[in-house]
Amino acid sequence: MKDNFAFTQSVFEKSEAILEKRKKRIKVIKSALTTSFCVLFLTLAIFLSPLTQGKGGLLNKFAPTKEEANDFYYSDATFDADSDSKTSIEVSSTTRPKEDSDAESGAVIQYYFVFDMSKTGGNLPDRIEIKISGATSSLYTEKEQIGNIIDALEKYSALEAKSEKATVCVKFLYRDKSVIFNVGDEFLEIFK
Amino acid sequence: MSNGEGSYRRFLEGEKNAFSEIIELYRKNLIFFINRYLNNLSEAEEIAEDCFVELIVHPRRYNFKTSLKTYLFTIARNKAVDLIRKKKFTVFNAEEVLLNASDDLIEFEEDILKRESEKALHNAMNKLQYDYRSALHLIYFEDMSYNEACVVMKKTKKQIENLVYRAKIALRAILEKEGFKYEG
Repeated sequence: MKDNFAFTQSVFEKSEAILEKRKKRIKVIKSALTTSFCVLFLTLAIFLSPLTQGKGGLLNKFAPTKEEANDFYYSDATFDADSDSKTSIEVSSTTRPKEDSDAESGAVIQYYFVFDMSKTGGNLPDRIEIKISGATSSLYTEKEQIGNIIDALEKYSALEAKSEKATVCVKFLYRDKSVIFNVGDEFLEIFK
Repeated sequence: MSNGEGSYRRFLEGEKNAFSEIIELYRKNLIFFINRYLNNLSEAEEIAEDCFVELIVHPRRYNFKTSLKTYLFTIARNKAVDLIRKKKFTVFNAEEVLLNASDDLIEFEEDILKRESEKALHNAMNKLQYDYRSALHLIYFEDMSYNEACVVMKKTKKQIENLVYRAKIALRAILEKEGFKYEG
């Protein structure tokens, strides 16, 4: 049987061994956690980047389709490019043809605008889509409408201030043909 | 003389020597108590060491609401019971125990049990079943209150009272068989 001193020594030795073991275990767990976190982060970065970016990217899949765009940006909608901006792009609703004229012309055309704003910088969203429906008889009004949109974009102060060279492209769908022109172009030419 | 809780508090505050006081206070009684379960002095000593190690390794587990003695004895009982389960101890025969008792054990018991009557009682107690033995030991050898014994044995006060009552009856029968006169 141990005496008091030997017993005390033994107790301290045992405790130190346990505490040392515990420290080592915590170290191992910490490094394992760090490693697995890094691996997880890298895996996510590698696998998610092609999914989220590019044409077939996941993020793009959530972008509205041409048909859906109609629900989001309708011709008679008023939308703010930026809530803080001084200028908002307004599209008046005059393009909407009367039912009579629709019936007379017998043809309803759709204008689908995609404003690629990614190069402009500023506070505008990267992409603005606007869809305008109208009958052929109201074409002139729609031309005016395009002008209104472009004017609004041109007036947008941040656009001009931030990048003089920025080109704002308008992808214009006209009877299944897409025409791209710059903001500065004379829009009337498109309809030739 | 300082009590265990005070020494432990001082140890937690960084006074290493205070732990020796705790060991000095409880070591023998703890080994004696554990030996009641294991009937193996070296194993009892090992477990007693582990009980004290517990105080160092897990200082936050003791909340100072019970006495340190009760806490230590609770750990001791749990560890002893665990070991018994592990080794599947069978209820041992007291006579066999006495025959096999090492010099160490005899010396140790001599040290703790000062009077002849205590020794006789101790031997008779070894013939009782575990719970009876533990209850009597805690109440009569360690001077614990029923409430403290409840904590150590994880039983209600009523259960402890019943255990002590039945243990006394069983102990009287054993002592009378061995020629002792039971007064009480």
